Amino acid sequence: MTGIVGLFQEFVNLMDPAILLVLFSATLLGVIIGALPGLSATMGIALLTGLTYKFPIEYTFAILMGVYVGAIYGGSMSAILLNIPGTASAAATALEGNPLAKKGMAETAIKVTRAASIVGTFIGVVALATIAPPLAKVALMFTSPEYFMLALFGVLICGSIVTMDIPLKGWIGGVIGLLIAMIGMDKIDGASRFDFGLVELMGGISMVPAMIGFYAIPEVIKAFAKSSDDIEIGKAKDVVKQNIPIWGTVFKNIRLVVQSALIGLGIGSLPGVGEDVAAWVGYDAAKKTSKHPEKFGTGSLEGAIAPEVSNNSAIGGAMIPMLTLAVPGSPPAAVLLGALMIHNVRPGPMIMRDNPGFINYIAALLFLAVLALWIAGILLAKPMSMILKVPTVYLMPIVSVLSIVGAFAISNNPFDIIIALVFGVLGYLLDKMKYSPAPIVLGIILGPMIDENFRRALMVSKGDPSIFFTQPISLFFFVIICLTIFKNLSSSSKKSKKINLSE
Amino acid sequence: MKKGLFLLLLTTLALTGCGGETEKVKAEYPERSINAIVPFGAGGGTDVWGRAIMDGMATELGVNIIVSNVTGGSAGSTGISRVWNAPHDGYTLACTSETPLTIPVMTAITQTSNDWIYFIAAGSPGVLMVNKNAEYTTMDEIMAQLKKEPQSISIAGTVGGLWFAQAKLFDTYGDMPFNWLPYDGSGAALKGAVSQEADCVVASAGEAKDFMRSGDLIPLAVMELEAWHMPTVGNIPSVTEYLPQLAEYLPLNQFLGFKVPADTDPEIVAKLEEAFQATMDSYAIEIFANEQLATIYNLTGEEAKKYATQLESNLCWILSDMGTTTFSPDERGISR
Repeated sequence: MTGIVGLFQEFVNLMDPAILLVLFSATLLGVIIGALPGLSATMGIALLTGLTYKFPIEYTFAILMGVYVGAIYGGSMSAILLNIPGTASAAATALEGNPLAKKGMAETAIKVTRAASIVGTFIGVVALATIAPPLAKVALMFTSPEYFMLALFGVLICGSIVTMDIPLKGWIGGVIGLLIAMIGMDKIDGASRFDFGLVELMGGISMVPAMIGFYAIPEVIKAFAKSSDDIEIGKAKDVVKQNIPIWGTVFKNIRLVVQSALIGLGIGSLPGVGEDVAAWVGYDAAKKTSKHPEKFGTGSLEGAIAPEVSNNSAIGGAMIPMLTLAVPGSPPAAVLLGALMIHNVRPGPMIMRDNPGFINYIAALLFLAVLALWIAGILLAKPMSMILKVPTVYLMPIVSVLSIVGAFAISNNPFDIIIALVFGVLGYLLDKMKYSPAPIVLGIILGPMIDENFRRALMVSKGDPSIFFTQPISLFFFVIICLTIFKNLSSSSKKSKKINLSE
Repeated sequence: MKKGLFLLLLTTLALTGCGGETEKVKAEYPERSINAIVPFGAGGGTDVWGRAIMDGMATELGVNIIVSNVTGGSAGSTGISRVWNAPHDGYTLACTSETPLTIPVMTAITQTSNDWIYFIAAGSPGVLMVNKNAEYTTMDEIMAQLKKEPQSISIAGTVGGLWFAQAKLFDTYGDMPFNWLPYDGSGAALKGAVSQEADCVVASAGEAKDFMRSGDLIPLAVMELEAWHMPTVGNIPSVTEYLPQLAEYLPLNQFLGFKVPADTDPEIVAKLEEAFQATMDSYAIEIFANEQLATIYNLTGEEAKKYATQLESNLCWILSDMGTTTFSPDERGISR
């Protein structure tokens, strides 16, 4: 009961015209960022975290949450109009959205995916507001062995799911991230590691500059490396006049909506596995459970609804472990975690004591962002085909300037610019070799947690490793870790057997 | 286009010309806004105190003071060296706590307290606390148990700096061999003690006040030479009542304030001192200190210097004896 009162209280607090205007503009900006190929939700949040560092905290999070929600939806617009998903999370939407546009139903497709995104985000908000506060209390029972197992599980699961070809690459990425995380003073003995005699490295790698490096700079390099070709951009207008009720279509498929939302929530709350995977799984499940699976791939509205509900409900899902355990559920949530820390909000089990209203505040912001998304979506539907014509030649210089300014602004430290650039080049090379940045970034974030809690757990038990297997929560995660490794090893050995047979 | 460019060039020239002119005339300090650099993150003790002091001083001096956080390095060394490398003209101040006193023994930077002029505002005392559900909840029981069975009781703390030195005093000089459990920051250490992963914890009273008030943590002793009365909790005895031998390593106090390089023009230092004193006498600071459970020290000039040098010596030597420093205090001219 107090939860609902608290949530209502936060709504009242947010009813400030300035905050609402900021939230609305941020959502609008988010939709554009999401729609423009090459600009992703994660990149948008990473850049804005740096740029909004000096703003009062209530504006900062209105901006970041608005961009998050807007960008996850915005990707579907370019998926429909261009057949290029603006963000990775809209890749599944492109499979159905673009055929619909080719059939002359672009406007209907945009409206239906918008409605699906709104419903998805809303379900995510409800889950966040109801699950997170009690979960934070359970999280108080987490001690060092539990944190170690959870963080290790996070890096492994993210590595095995998010990878572009084989799970091993995701795990290698995770290990690279863990190694990067070891740079600087350790938290147990205060010894400086891998600092190469540089005073600047003694404090460790700053999180936000590293993320700007991994998510923004590779896109700039890619834009220079690739020759631009003319793309055909459809107009967001129905050629075929058909009267399809938008909300009716969404609510007619209520079973599909609920199924996709649950998938989105579940996958969103897995550490580091975010909106893009949620969208694929949601799409796949929709295809398998549909009465008309043959229509999938040719412009099925069901197929357009499912991934959009999943990826938007994954936002709420990703925020739950981020706020209660300080383990981000998705790459954008990982950047948000960094943003929270530099604004001195410490997510984790103590959040209900340190910042009692914060979970409700984020839930309320997300809810208002849903409303903002509704309006922003309507406003941007028509001009979007114009916006998408902006060539990358103009776009990428802006991104590069924002990257440098964003990396510098957080601690006014020129060394952070070098960090962003070095990780940018590294990110580009790894991207060329088909390594996903998500497990690397998660490794950087969870690395100190793994290192510190592993060693402290052994200090508590005075060197006895059984402490990891004798506490129920820790044992539970250990079993899941074993299952994850076993499943991936067996499936990849099957794959290689298949390849051998076909040869 | 060309006209615009020409205009821009002209404006720039004009501006730089004017700038050069005014610099020649020695103006009354302060003639422009002042930068204050906080070497730690926003929201921490150094930051909130730095901002509160600078807010008051800006009013006194009649100029803006822009507070920015420059984090990184060890013990705040990035921010502190930024101030040292800026001109020593009173326009760049360093907000500080006691932690940067360990920079000379932790990093390759050689400036010690002799190279700075300190303005010390306040500090919150350190308290040894125990979880209410622990097996032994009084100082005497804990001391007896540790004597009987070393390492059977654990103590949570942070790595490096003041709270580390305080927690390690028991082990090193107090004949209380605790099992040491380090955490990343005082907040995490307190959480470790509240969730009973650790039995005891040492942290500042300001940070631990909610847990002591809710009864989750029982205060055992204050790390000061005298007993301390904590509002709404009551009297907390001095640690020296149980362990008189620790007296020679105290005071090991937290302090918050700011500093400027020692070779700053004495006239400027005098101006800063005046503004600082006026700020410390204000009602706003008194209320702020009460909220933060801090004791006001209000030290400047020789007094502040003596205080900082004494604390620097205690802190650096204790850390050095524990083997956690990179350089010996001797090397840096810090006497024992």
